[in-house]
Amino acid sequence: MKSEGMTSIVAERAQRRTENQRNVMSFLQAYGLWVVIILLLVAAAVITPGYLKPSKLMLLLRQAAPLGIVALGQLFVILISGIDLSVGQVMSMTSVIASGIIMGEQNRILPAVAVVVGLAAASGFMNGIIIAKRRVEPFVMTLAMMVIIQGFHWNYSKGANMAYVPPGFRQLGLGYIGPVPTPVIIWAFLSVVAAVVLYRTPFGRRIYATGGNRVAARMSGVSVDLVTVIPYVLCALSGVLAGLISLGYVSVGDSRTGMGYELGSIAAVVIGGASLAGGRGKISGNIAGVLILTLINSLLNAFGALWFVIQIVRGAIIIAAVAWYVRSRV
Amino acid sequence: MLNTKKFLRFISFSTAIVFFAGIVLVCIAATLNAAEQVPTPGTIVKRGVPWVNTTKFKKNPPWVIGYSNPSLSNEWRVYMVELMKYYAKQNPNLVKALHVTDSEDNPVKQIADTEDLAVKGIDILLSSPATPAANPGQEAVFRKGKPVVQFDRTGGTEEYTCTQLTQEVEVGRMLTEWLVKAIGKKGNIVVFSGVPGGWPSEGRLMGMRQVLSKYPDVKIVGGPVYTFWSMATAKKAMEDWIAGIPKIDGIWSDSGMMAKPAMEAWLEAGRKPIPTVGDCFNGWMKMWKTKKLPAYGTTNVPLFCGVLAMKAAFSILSGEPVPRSSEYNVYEITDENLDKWVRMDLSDAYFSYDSVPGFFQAPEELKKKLFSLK
Repeated sequence: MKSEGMTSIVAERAQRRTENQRNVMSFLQAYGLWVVIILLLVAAAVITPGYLKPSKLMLLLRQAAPLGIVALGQLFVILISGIDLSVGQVMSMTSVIASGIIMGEQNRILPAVAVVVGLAAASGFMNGIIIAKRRVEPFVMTLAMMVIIQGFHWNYSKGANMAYVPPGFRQLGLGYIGPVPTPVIIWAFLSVVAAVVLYRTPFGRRIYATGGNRVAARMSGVSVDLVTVIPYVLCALSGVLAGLISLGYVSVGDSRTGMGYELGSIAAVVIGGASLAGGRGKISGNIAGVLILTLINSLLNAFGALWFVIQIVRGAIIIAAVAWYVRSRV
Repeated sequence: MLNTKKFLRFISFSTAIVFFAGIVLVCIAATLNAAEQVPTPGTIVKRGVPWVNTTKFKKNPPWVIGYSNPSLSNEWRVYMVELMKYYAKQNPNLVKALHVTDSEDNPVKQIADTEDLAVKGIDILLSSPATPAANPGQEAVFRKGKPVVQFDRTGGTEEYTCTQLTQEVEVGRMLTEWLVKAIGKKGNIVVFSGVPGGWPSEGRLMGMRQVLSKYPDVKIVGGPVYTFWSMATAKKAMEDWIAGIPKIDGIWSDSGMMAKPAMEAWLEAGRKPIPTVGDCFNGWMKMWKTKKLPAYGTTNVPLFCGVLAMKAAFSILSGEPVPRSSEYNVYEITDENLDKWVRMDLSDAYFSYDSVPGFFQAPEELKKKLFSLK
């Protein structure tokens, strides 16, 4: 009797331990990224007390905003099991061509924006339609588009760009609305819009359906081709917006503006929990992924870490994030 | 019977005549060679550097010239290649064709590009290795017996006919010496660089470290960060350092392309300007002038280096001797002579070390075409 009682107590404890572990795992799955962000901020506060001043945090968010905007577009593409490698060059093209048209004149801003929006939308449309209709692999198609766009803006500028934008335009990259930098406001607004579209509209459901199972989606009456084209156009437009913000940030056109943003946005989306196979991903995870990447880069820079160390740490984080999500889904 | 005394006198006299005649002949030969051994304008040849006999390369013009260019990834390189094309057009009787490749800073691609140039039947190869990994391309052409002019940067190989380089280490030393003195020989500095592994960046950092080793009270508290010449990357890094590093006394950058955004970030944070170093990048110099910054610069690699390489190519293919190695002159840019270098009427992308007085003048119409503000 006594031994039966002991056995049941041990079994109860084991069961409670398993339940607790499951609860912890569920908590980490749901909020793990934000725990990481908080831990990083705590570490920053301990090592550099001034780091957590509101003005410094706003600067950090301002640095994150262009990547955050591009990552939103990239999320839409990855949700339909695609990928867009051309978005970085769209940013660079925007910076070069917009500044080349504006040339310091306030009244040339709107025409410049119209031109780059048109060019980017066309490139996004080409990506989407060729992938949808000709079944070209997204990696290959967007890689080719990346090279085309790069050649295009290099030919436009002959490499000698760096035209000015007027002070009014710089507000896009450097301005504030109250205490919050303008790029952060834009990023927050677009994130809310993206969340509404994905979670509350039929189009959003079609995106998830197409990414989850393309064949089943088509058989259910989803216009899979249209659902494929639109995210690529949105991704290209996100590149334009990020490019314009970066142009305001440095004030001159620069053909290196988008360098690293294609891989950075993919990394942010993956860290945020989206599946490259499509059909899975959340806006909140996306935002967390962007913040983690920006925070790691910024902290390591602030502490004087060597460039190579920063690259290794970034790669390690991506591997850890992907390994975590694969393990938690098995 | 042989008169020994007379015989000995004859031998001595003959030996003396031969000896002095030999000296005279050597002097004449040296004088003649010296008349031919004229360094390319805009370069200096160090004492003791051997001259290369290029008679075996002599060929009737016009010639086909190939340039294995590591990249067109920045405004400096684009302008440099445009000046080469302009110089080729100025010498149509000497240049049949000028083929320029772009390996996008990828050494493996540069090897392939160099092989493509060899297949095109070039008479001479001009080469600027992206990194030492690109050497095999240049070496293969050299081993096939073609002359090679290596210029602008080195991959560390010795397989070339002649080389023309910037004194990168000296540039790094000059920048650092000024900065160290400007901050009172003690304090914290942050460091920006360009492309990792590339000789311009690594050479200048080498010079920086040589000087800093003499001043232990000057500490590098941030970087070197390799920005790949991206202004946005430089600005973000500076913002991070402003946030995380309590005291920064100076900014070391081997290019104004990073110095400008770094100083911009510094001023946006409400700080007073601190000593900063850069080069002849116009955007940086314009900011220096308008904001009256405490700054210093050097002329780094001249934009006319491609033109000088072509001049060396002409000499080689004409059978004239060339120095095995030569270096470009480096000039200081200071508050006193800034107006000589800055062009307020041209865009930021312009680099102003683009002419050699008396030999080559960069055409104003090309500057306006590439760098006009309107």
